[in-house]
Amino acid sequence: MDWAAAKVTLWLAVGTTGLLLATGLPLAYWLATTRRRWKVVVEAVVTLPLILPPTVLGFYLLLASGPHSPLGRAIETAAGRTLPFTFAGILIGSVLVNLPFAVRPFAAAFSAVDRRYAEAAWCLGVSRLGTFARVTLPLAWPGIFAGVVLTFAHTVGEFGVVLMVGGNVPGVTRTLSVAVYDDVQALDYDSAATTAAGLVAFAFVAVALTHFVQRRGGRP
Amino acid sequence: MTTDLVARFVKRFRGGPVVAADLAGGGVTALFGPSGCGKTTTLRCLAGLDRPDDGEIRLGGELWFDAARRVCLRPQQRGVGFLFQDYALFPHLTVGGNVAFGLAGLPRADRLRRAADALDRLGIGGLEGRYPHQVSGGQQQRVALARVLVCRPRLLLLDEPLVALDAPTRDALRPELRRLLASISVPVVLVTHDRAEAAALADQVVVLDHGAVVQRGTTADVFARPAGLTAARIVGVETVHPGRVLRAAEGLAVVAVGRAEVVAVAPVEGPRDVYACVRGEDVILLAGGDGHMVASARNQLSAVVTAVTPEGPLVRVGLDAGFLLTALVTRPAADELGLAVGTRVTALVKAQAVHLIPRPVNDPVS
Repeated sequence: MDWAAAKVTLWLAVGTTGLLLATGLPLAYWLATTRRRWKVVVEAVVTLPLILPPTVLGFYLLLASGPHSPLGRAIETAAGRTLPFTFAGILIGSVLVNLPFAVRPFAAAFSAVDRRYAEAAWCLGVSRLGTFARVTLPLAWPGIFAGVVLTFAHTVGEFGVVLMVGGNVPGVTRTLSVAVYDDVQALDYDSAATTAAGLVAFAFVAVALTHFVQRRGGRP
Repeated sequence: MTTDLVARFVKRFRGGPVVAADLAGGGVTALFGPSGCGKTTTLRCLAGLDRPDDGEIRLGGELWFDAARRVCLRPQQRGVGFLFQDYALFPHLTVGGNVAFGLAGLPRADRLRRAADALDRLGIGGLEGRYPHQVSGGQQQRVALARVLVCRPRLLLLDEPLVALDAPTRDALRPELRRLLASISVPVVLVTHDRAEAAALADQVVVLDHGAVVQRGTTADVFARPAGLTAARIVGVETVHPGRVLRAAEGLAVVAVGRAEVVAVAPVEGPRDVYACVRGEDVILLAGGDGHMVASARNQLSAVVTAVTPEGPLVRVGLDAGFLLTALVTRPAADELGLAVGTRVTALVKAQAVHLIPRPVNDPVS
């Protein structure tokens, strides 16, 4: 097992999940409650990474953040280096690829919460933010938890965008899934088998956990 | 001390009905009408959950909504108590947590104590630790009431407060709710489509149909004397039949209805077209169809039973008394009279129980 790759994978999954909780929850809540008609456009954009090959996404990200694009030069001036082949680069790529895996379950969870609970809280004088924190979020929790586990697990297995944007820099951008590919290329089947088995076991536990929480339905 | 609610507003729906509410006064007001007539929309506009398109809402001296001045207070700023039809108790919180939910800015111990007090007052103390799904429907209703009342609302809105309960619980809770509503000094607006509920709980009734006010008045008045054909149909007067006043003298009118003549107490003068309305519970049935006896009831109609339909503890009896008359009698009474299709009976109706509604001359007679 490539422990440096395991560490990169873990940090990538934690970072991606954390960023998607911070940005995905408000976005999902907006999607679940808004009556604006152009929300279908936002929904489509959020779903797009589910259908696009991660390599396509990685390709555009590479172009956008490379030294030849205005955005890439801006980042270079601000951060002192460009995004490709850095941990920040694969983190951004991974957040974009995982957008649907987080936002869609979050939005479904918010939609499933009867609107009258929030309305009852408003009538009791509780602010919109207070109602979100004390009513909507706890009631949507099983669905949100499913989204978190799915995002984390999917990031652990992310391959295409990481390879496109990050390449294969050991200890920086080389994740477990890239390590399996690399091992197979080098005909090191034993190492690849160990890593692959570990990833299968992890994925199984993650999916089983989501189903368990969903079935309990968040009952206290 | 009560403050009065004044609400005159219009809410339009895209491709749907228009709801025009017009409410005023304190006490307990029932919005009465069939489902889809705009009752719940009216409540939601009062609570600030929906925004009317036009008009104004004020409580006491405070302006809550004014379309012209673009004022629309949020629900949090209005201080209304909204009792939802199925109570909307938070399923993830205990009964105590639900009741204490709106008590912000107090220490936790104080909040829980006030919640416990409120539950005690409603006779369900000791349930604080249970979850909503662990208590009965009647208890859920009282938990929801406690949750609303503990915040000391300035206007209480009840959406079909008893409809989610089974019939025995409903009958048991109705007088209790009446006492509670009488004891609080804020205006109450309740929505119902149940005549018994409106009669038991409300001081005044506003009858709605297709989003418009058809009639308003004291509860007894509206149910006994509907103003028009629509109101009569909505409040459920069993017999509404077109007729014509033949002569009137000293406050009594003789009306030709179908092949019969009935006497009504009505301040009309001279011949005119009317609808004669008789509530089913105001019809007394006697065995035998001779229709001649000495009794105080002015209308003694010999009739033939055309239909017998049991309705809970009562039986609805269709009669051909020269016009189609419906009587509501108890089951034992129906058994004793041996009521069946074809039975001859005498129907007694007091003149005060015949209510006349003016009928436009060219109104098609069905």
